Amino acid sequence: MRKTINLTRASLLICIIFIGARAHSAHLENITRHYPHGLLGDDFGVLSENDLAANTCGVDVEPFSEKSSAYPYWQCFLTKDASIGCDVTEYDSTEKSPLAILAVTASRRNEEHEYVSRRAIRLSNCNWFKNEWKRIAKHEKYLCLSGPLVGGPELVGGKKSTTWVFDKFKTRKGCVSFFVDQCDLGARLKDGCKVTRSR
Amino acid sequence: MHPVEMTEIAKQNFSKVKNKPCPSSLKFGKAGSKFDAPIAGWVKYWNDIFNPKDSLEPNLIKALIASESGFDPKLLANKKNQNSARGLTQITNGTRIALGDEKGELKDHFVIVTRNDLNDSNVNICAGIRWLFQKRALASGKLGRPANWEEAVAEYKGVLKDWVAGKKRAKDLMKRFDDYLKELKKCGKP
Repeated sequence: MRKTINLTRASLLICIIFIGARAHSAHLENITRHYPHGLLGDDFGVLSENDLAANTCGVDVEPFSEKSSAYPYWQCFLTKDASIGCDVTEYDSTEKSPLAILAVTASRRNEEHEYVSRRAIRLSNCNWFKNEWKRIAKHEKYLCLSGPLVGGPELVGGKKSTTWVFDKFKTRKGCVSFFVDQCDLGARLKDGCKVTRSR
Repeated sequence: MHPVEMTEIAKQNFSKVKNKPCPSSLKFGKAGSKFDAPIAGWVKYWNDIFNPKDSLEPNLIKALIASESGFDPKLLANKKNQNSARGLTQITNGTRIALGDEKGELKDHFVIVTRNDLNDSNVNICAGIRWLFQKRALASGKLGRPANWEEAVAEYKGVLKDWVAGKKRAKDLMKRFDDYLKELKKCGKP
């Protein structure tokens, strides 16, 4: 009797896993159908098709290569393997504030990724991003990052290291961007970035 | 100088300027070469005013804009922060005030604009280049010798000290600008 119950439970579990995997694969297929190059790896259910569509605004879309430059790609990581920091550079007398480079680091397997801001920003502004990170990353298993390539991948200490421009981060709780409205998909897509036909 | 004068200067002179930046879009679609005429025009204007020994090249400004805003004139870095950087050259409000403050850090050739004026690409490019000349002077003071234009850009981006010291993050931050500039200097040549 117990053996039968255990067998039923195991079969049920396998079914659930199978259905979940199929649903996830359908989700990935859906979001990347028109934007096959915008996501590197798995999104773990965090992104939508609109997230990929928004990144095609105003740039030439191209598959990722070491020569990629303008097109921002999405990548997703375990939140526990990602962190954000403010690397103070110097005091700026015009801004009347210390400046800092916003830097996000994330790793997976044998890869290290670093996302840096386009310029040094006011330290208070950088700290605002850190607080937003805490807010949307708390209790979230996965986090996605977006930005165009700066350089790499190159081997550093046995790991493949790649540098990107920091544009935005997203969890299932929300999205935060370096520039205003870059997460506001409605505003971005109004500019005609979304395709309804196959590219 | 006020925005009305900037518009007039651009209208009367910029179509005749010959030394334009490389027309490459740098993979930013149509926008990538949309601002070549005002870039060339304002580079010539400020070179004529300040007459530096090594003239500012339009390609450098195009690379700066590509690295700062990707040629999107509507970009604002932080809506809740009124000091936020704006437009093609990402001028902050602090910079905007300094550019027009006769009792501030600029000695002459003031650029008097409102925050909204900076959403106009012509105004933004004019102000951004004026500010780069100022940043070059500031960088020269910090380095104790005449700064070159790349050092002026590092100062513009707030990383001069770290970049000169060879710090990795500052180098990474500057790399994108460097790559764009190299690409523009090659201008399609292998």
